[in-house]
Amino acid sequence: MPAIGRALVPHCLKRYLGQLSSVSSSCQEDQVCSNESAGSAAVGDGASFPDILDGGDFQQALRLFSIELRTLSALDDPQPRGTFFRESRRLDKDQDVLLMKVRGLTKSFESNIVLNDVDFDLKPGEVHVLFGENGAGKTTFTKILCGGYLPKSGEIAIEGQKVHIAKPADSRSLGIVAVHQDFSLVPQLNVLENLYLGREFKTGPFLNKRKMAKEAKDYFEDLKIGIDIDLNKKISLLSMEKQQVVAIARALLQPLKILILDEPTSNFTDRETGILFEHIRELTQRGVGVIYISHVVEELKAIGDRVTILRDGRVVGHIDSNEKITKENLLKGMVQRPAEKVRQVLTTNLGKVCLEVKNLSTDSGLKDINLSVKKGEILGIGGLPDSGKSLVGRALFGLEKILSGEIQIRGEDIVHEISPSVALKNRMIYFPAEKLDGLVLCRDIKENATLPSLEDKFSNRGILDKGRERDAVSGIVEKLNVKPPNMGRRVCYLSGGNQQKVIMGRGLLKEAKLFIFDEITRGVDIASKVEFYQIVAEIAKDADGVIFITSELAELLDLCHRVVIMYGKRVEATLEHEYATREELVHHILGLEV
Amino acid sequence: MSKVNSIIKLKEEMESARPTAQIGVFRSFIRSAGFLPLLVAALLIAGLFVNHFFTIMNLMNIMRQTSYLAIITIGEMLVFIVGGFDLSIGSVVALTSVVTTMIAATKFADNGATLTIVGIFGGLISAGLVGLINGTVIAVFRVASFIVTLAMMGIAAGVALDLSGGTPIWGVPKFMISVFGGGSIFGVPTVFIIMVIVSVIMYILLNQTKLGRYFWAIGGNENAAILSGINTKKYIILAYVLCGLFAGFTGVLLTARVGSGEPVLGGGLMLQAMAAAVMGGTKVGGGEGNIPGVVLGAFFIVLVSNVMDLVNIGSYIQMIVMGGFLMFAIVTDEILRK
Repeated sequence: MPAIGRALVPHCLKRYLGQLSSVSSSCQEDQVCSNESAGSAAVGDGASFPDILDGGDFQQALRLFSIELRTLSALDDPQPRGTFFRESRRLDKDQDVLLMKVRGLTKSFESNIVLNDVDFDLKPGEVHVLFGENGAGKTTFTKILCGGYLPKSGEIAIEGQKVHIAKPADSRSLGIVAVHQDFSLVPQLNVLENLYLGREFKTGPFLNKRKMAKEAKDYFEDLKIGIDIDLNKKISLLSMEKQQVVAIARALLQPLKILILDEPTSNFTDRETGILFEHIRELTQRGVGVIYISHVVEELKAIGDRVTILRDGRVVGHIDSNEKITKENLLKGMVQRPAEKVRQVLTTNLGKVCLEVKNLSTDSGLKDINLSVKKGEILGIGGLPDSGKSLVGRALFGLEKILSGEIQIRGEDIVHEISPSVALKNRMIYFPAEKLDGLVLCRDIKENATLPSLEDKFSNRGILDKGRERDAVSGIVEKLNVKPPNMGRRVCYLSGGNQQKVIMGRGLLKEAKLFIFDEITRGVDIASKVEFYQIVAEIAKDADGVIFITSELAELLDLCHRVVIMYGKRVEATLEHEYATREELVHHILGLEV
Repeated sequence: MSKVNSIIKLKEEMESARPTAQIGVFRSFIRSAGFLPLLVAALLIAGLFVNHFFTIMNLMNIMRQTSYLAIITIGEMLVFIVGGFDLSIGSVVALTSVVTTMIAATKFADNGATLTIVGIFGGLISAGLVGLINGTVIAVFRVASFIVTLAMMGIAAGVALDLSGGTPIWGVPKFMISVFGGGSIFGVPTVFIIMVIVSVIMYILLNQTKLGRYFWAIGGNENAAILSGINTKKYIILAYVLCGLFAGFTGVLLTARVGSGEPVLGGGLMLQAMAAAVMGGTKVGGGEGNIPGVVLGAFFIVLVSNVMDLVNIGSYIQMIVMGGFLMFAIVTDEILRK
């Protein structure tokens, strides 16, 4: 095939042919790539998902660590003291050599302030670490630098020039390149197409695939990473580890001044991490500044020059280049949240078992789930993100297909007819992890709050009793302290915390007795979090039982009577509140033997 | 921390002080009022510059045309509200026209009244069936409403043509023509009164009943409706059935007006109904819409096409204008939303 002919074969057609028959496709592809990326196709094909398990343990360790940090931070001394904390708004004398200078950066979503007056400097050739727990504002910060969000206020200067980054293209033209946590690859396109997306090499109107393939192939050979990446393979068919390599390669193939790496090693083994670090060092020698985000202290020690610590959108500490980066140093920066008081007075007066689940298995993979909730009890369910803890809540509410087992509510088995409406009839209500799943954003507070109770409380033969509805909702709005207390307001105009309250109000109006809360404090501002803990503890006193699904260790330890830990879609352990310790929980969460 | 809190507090206070965005007649009217100036301008231009516009004949004609379009648009709006849309309504008009006439025009009895009623029922059943199939396929198999109703548009039109042999069917009973076609009560066209009654009923249904509340919720966020224990499939199917029935009812009324069963009746209605619905403040994608807006939207569309008729603008150009209005309405709606 002549060169132009090859270029004319549309990608989609080639992919289609590839799917049609593996035999013919391999011929086709081989012809194409034999010149362009000799050999790499054939090698990569055999081992398509090889190393995904290797990355698994490492990932767990990472998760463990971030959980640990959250807990430690909650238990630490509330008063920040010592030489560790420095004045953040100190002016550098050698300003002119700064690669990037950020001053007073602020960003909020609705009333939730996610970045508050953040200052940040980056010198050429340094690796500046951003450190902080989940939700501290690191990702928002990087997204602003990449043109994903517009800041509310604050200044950004690159090499002394004040800049305005309104869209991703602005950021790219300034030489800022980022590797995001989610890789931002197009799964339907192949590796080569992704590597050059938006900056393809062209000959006249046609793609110069040969040149792109050559550069990419040389680059991967240069990496000596020992992983063969087939340039013609679709991203969706690659293992996570390989996807991460592609995402980083895409960034490094571009001309850049500032490199942002957000958790770049989450799927890597030590060896690959080491190779990445060599590349980072090479870049810094050329004067590139790197913003590095990671939770792994060992990595920070190895690669970081200095650290800025964020918490709740503020800069709370620095570790300068002349100080050592140690775990202690980092943890000191993560002092206790002043307003967060997880511990609630729990009722000790528990009644009989009201909800009992026996040997429940579902289509979505839950296996032999056994648990029970007593009257007045808060049962915590914890575990890793893919442990199946959310599936338990969904299954109980009839949102998962159930294969076998029993769900007994007040002694009666309802597993065969379980559906959201049956669950609601049995006065069980579910609060989804993604609160937007539960709300009709374009409608008002009132309509959202009464949606499940219209049938039994606010309508008579299908006609709405609007007066009664208004009275009931205004009572709830007052009780839950919804702001603004205007039930005609559309919920899309409310803050995250207040939206969550509307969903809670829904449960109260339904006069539910069994509550399943799934991650209700995620993405909620701190003041509201504390309110939620109080509300949940209050609700539990009168309820037939509360199931509280969360990934925060502090909530499991301090808000729950008993804790069920899920691992691999099974119940790993059930622990009584009095005997549960943090270490024990973490062990079970990771599925380790105690 | 205290600074953050005080900022949050201040912001909340400001928010609560802002005039409230109530969902109700008033607000939805304001939403649809975006095109009111356009409507007034069109009326003024028509009144001042177009001959024969302000004649009794023409105004009666406009009332009739508005009624047909408003009824079919209300049906389309229901489907819009639950988050879908229905392209088959034009074909349903033709199908109903053919089925109704084929039954009503049988030569057995000389009393047209019974046959008219039986014919109308037959026509409406066929229209409801089309809606039922649309709704079931969309709700149960989770297929895009666009494709399903596009297919149904072809099927219904084909059935109508096949049944009629492609030619008009004559013999619509005099009773039907006199009551629903040219009839008027105290000088007001009967179809207009029917339209008003239909609008009031639908207004109550949407705003004062559980059913209406469920429609809004399903279109706004189907997941939320499912979590609230609502059988969303049932209500989505119901919306399509109602849409089919409204289209069928329009078909019956138009048949009475033209006096024959026409396999090509209602060709342009689908485009006009969509334009009227969107101009009237119905949100494409679900969750919002209102009856007064839709009726005014229908009035506007009819007014424009009436004026174009009066100044001898051909039907080809009229199609271009209608398509243009639909596009214009959707784009301005998107812009206003941001």
